[in-house]
Amino acid sequence: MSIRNAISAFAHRGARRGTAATFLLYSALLTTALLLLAAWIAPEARAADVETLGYWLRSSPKYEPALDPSLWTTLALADVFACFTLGLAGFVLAPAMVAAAVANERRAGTLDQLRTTPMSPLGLACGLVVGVPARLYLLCAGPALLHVVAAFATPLPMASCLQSLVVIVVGTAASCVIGLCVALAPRQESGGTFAALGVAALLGLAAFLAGAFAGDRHMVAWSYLHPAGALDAVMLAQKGLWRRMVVGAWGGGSLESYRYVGTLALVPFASVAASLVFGVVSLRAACRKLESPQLPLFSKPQAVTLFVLAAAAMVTPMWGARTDVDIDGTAVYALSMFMLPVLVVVGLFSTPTFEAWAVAVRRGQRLGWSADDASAHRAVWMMEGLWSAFLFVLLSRHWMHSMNGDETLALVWAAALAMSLPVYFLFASTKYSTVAARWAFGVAVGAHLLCQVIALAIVRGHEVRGFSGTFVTLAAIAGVAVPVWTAWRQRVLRVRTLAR
Amino acid sequence: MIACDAVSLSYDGVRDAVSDLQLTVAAGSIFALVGPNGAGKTSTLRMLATLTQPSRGTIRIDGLDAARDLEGVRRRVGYLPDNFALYDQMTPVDYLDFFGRAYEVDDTTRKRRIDALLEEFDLTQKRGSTVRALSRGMRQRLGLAKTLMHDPKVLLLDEPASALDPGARMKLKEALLRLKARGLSIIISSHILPDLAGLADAVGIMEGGRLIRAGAIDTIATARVTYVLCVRGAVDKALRVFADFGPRLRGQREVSPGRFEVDLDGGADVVAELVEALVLRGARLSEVAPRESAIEAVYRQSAASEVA
Repeated sequence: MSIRNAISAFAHRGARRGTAATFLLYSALLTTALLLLAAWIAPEARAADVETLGYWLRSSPKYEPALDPSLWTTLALADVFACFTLGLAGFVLAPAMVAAAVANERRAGTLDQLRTTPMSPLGLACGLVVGVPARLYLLCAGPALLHVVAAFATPLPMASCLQSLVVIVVGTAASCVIGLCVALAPRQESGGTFAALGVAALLGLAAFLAGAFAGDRHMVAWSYLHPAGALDAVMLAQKGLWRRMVVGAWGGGSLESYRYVGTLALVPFASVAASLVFGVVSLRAACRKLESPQLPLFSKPQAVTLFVLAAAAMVTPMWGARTDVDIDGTAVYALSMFMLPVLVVVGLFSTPTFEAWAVAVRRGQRLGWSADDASAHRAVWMMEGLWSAFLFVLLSRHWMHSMNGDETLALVWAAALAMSLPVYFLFASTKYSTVAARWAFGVAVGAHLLCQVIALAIVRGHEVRGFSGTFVTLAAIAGVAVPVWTAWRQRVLRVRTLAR
Repeated sequence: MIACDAVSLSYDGVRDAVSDLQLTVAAGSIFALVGPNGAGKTSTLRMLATLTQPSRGTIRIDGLDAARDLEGVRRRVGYLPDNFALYDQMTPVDYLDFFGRAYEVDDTTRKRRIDALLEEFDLTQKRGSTVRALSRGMRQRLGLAKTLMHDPKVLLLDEPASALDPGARMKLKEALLRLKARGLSIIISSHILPDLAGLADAVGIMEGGRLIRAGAIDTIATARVTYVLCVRGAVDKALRVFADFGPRLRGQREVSPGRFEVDLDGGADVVAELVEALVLRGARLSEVAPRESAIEAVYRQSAASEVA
């Protein structure tokens, strides 16, 4: 079945002709509300800028802040609101809706009914991504039109308008695919509301961080990691109201840096490319899961690819930023902390279920690292090795040579800690059959890892004495005992499984 | 139309949920899959609906290999799962339209078929209501209508009558008989045996993942059948008839005054003989009926032989 037909079916399910007309009307009302809000605020803000300007011109010594009250027009402010609305809808609400709907379909069993139709997994995935938030997309039609009109009637160049629209569309699609993956990943059918809240919180936080990065000349190179950062970069690159609102009356200094402005110009392109690459990899994972729900979300090669892409995305900006940022061991640890959740997610969701693992154990065959039924140990260790290689190749001359004995010890400890992670993934997947038990185990392992990270920070900070010393000693014992105990329990489970 | 050859399914590598299933269902017939909970009925239907791939063996639907031509098989199969859910916020028309589009039924045919199915399943009056407002029986009929949107050749129905009231069951039964008359092959799983009486042409009894007995009801329901006979007066004469009837009458019990349950070996001819003998001896009969349907008898006998 063609993808076009699948999308058409879901689009009609999301909003039939009559409903579509109603939502387009709501969209017009929303746009009117944005214009009215802008018409209310803009004159007040313009007057405030005029007053500030007058105050500083009258002051002694005279100082002229970079303020242009004429930027505060109703249309320009409404355009800012429209962009914010589009970003919120596309990057947070739409993926949350997809996650909620798919989780609910899994729980109700309707997803199985869809799987019995001739729709291909790709058609089904595309249909869900396009069709589920169809009403939200219709609601966004007015703000999108307002954004285009603003490009004609305000100093915002048409090229920037097009860039922002492309960033929004591609970013929305990629975010919705992530929402789809989140809903498909858990073994049991999770609650739709829970999945939606999780996706909204995760993507909302990422959008907030990326947006903040775009406004900071040291961090701007990382703002492409989320389309919200790219949208912010597109709008910041232009001398308009958006920049005035983000950098304020006094913060225009950084925009005199050619390096910063140049990076801002590159961010949208990098973001679209990243969204496309991550979207495609995630879409393949979602299709695989839709086709064979008994498999883990990621195949081992997919997990490694995704991790490598994420690692590359995280490290590559270092090339551009290395003269601005003080790259030392701390930066490496900070980057590794960002990568840890990625490693946990891809490692956990490439670990087989108990049933698949038990079948493999009973078959007695030695499985390759990439087999779906194989534990994820080798794949996770491969990812960790690749991450270390990335850091070593790209940054070694900046930090490796300056490490002292404690920092080297901390690095070795961190590596050993990272190596123990797949032991927990496999145990959580195969030992516990209920969601509550898995969460309890996850929280316990999370607490253990937190203690280990604190101990690592103490060791790196050369503070190993008194209470800190006792804490580090206990953490070191736990660092050995907990993975050994888990591995031993896994062995017992294996023996029992073979005996059954 | 449907052929399973040595099909097995194991979820954990130790126990087979379905073991060595051999099954053939002809076009225009209804095959009843009966058995207790956990017997493997749903797993079998899920394999036939291509939702689960068998661990071993092959399934062919209308000549197509279910493992190789998923799309072709899905176009030929309509599957109604147990406890299925509908999209509550949609109207029946929208619901059928969505699945029609999902099966790529063209616009004209889709509209015509939606009207016809709503008419056939007595849902025309509710075409504008949301699914949430439909009764359980109507939802069941709408689910069945959905499985017919793409004009399948095979229908797989998993416990379609569970939780339906008697009236709704009657309507469902009538609908299934109409579909059978149209030439569809239907596999219906149920553990409510009276629902299948007078409906199924063949029966398969599953127990612990194995198909322990299968065939046309007439050919496998040849063993003992229990009849209920109500005798008005002259009970002593009836008792004498029972004593003289011979070995085909395997036993009788007087469950209440004048009301007997008699176990007969053989089919309808034997009970006709017994009734004739009773009447000739002057016994007056007010009721002659099988205590259970043929399908129930087959199931009971199969279960008993398994225990033995």
